[in-house]
Amino acid sequence: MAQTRSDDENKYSKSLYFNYPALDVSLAFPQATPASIFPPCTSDYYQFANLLTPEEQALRLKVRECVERDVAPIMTKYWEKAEFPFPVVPKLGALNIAGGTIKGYGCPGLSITANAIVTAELARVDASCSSFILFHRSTMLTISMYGSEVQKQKYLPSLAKLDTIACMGITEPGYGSDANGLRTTATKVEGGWVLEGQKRWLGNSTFADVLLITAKNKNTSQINCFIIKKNAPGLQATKIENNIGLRMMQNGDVLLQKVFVPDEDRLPGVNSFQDISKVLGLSRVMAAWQPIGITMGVYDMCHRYLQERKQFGAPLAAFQINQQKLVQMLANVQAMFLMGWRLCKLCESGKMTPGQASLGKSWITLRGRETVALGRELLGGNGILSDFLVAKAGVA
Amino acid sequence: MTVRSSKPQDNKNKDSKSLYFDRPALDVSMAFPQATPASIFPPCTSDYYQFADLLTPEEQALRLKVRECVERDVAPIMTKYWEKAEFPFEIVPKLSALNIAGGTIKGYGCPGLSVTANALATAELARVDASCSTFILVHSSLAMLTISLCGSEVQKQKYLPSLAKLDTIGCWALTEPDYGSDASGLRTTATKVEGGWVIEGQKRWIGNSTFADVLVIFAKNKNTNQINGFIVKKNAPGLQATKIENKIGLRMVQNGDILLQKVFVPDEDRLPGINSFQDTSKVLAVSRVMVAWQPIGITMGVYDMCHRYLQERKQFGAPLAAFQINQQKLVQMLSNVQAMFLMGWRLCKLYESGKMTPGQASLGKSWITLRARETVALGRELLGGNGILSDFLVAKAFNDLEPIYTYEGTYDINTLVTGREITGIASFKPVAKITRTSRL
Repeated sequence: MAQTRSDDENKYSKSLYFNYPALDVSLAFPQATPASIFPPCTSDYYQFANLLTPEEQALRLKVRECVERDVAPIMTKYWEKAEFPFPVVPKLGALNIAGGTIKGYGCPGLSITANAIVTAELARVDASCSSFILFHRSTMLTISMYGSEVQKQKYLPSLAKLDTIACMGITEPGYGSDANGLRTTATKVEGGWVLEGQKRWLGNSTFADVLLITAKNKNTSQINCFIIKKNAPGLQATKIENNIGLRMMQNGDVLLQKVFVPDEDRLPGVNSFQDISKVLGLSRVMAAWQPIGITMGVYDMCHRYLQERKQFGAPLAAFQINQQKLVQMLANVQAMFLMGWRLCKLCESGKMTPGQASLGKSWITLRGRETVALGRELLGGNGILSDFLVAKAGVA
Repeated sequence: MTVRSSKPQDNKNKDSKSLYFDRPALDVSMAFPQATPASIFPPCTSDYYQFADLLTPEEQALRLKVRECVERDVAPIMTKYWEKAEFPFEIVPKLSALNIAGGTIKGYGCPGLSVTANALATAELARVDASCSTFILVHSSLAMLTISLCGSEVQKQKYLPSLAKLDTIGCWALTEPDYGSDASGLRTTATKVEGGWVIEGQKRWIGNSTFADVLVIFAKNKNTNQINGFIVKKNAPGLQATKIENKIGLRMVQNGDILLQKVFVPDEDRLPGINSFQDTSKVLAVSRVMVAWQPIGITMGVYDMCHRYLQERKQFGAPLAAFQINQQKLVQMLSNVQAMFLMGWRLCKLYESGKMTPGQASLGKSWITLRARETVALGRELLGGNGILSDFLVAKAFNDLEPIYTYEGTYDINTLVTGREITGIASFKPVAKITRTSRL
């Protein structure tokens, strides 16, 4: 009986073509070019190359060329499946940007502004890839600022080449904004430490070779930092599913059940939350550059789309409403870039305050959301397909 | 009978008015001592991203000099003049002493400021009072600039030195009742006669015109059908300029309805460099950069006021600054101010490099006014009820931004100017009429 019903169901619900593969978007909708062929950059309206050194501008173009060529054609598929695009890692490794501002140990020693521009150019094409590098790089920076000389020599060179991947864990299910209150513990034992606790949202953690975990030192009640290796006994890092944004990022639920960390893998320079705050302040500046890059890409896509797509006998670019939205987006992009640039300059001068960094990050993300929302409108129905970039950017 | 009729009137007066009805208003510092009004201007706390680093020492010095002057001479008197919608003539000599009229013009007694310096002066004036800023802007960046860019050598020598000292005042008349955004369609005419021209037509919204000594008037040359520019003098026969009343913003600016009835202009007062609307547009492109700096200054002042107010005013046993909602609004305002300043600064640099396009200027002006309205709206909320009293600056600033949003190109038109530049398609005019019914 049950079998017959299921046959009936099949007969009524499915069609002959139900299981055919999807039409490629360029065939189904040839009226506009998808993001797999990335649009040219038309968003630099206030000529910001003038504000960069020749090296910064050259690096900017090198990163842009790489991601347009190697990431754009494959990102839609990986994003839909919420999988990490491992084939891209060697391409990013070849750019020699993973070590950011760190000097020595095989790292490129970039200026803060150069590091920022790189972050933006990655995000312009794909924000998940930009976040992947951002978290990897923040971990490297923490090791470089607070690690022993031995630790730096042991871990940084391989991380700089992206031969090994790093991640860093502060956030816990019970402690997000209130990070200082975290409850993962580190208990001193002979020859090292035993870590016990749980982390959540750790980007890259499901496959990272090096996991930097913050835990409360039970002796001092202060926050310390420990290097844990992939597959360490007692460590588990499983993916958080159902993420609507940055879907290629593998964010992990990390369980630490009596994970042993030898003395040599405790970062000597982290002895309280204040120490970690310094790194967070610096990475906040870089995080502020992701929305800048994202909105540049969204504008570039909208600019091309409005020329290609026609309705009522004219390209969408001919209509006042669309022109105004496009201009509002373009203006926001210039302003966001300028805010990010000024923040970099304050940082480079050594005078940047935490409030200044927070102001930049918060305002830039606010404007970023507004800008991408306008871009989503400009694309009509295609504003909900990640093939056309904007929908993917909108939930980053 | 007469006696009786006066009796009901007395009764009516007795019932409706009170004994104290006509007494003078309480001074706001007595009625509300809980916070300092703008007559004692708040210190500058809005420069969060340290913009002095981006300026030359001369620019920074000028900035502080202008600030000191307007805080001292304008702030204590502006509320009264704004309320009455009267121009504060007494401050003209004070502004003259700053030597900023004439802005970027070199020679002829003009200060030859950098574009950035001129912009900062504009902002510092607007920070305390936007009307005073507009007064100078119209005089300097429209009237004087047109004479300097498009006048003959004789005209420059004749008019600029006195205008630079603010001994004489200028204004600039393009807009007409029928032609605002569609400025190039204007219909005031200039007919060639012996020895000169006869101007016939009407202008509206012309700032300073009710008392200006020098009026730069744009009219259509009847021979060429192109727009030309003419210098008309105060009290010229056939000229009348009367104030537009009932404005809610920039109330101290005297905007005139100008009637030109067969006004004769001698040949020597025709501006030789204005031969089409394109030439007029050249002046507008520069002044648009200056206008973009007014909202920057205005919002700086509003932030400075809110910052002080939130420390002074207490409720529920704590200063307003202690509450999260207020902190967030204050921070949103502060962020906007930094971003607007940076946009204005970048625009000045593009201009100074000689590479600025009209679309870039329009983008700057439109976006900056948009953010400024948002910022001042937040400021108005922070002041509670005092957000509706011009004594506390913010209500005045809120209203003053409204004409700034639309003058020198409305927000919408400016976005279309940029839109044309970035898409290559002009969308100012409506699409041609559809002769069949729509498919929708």
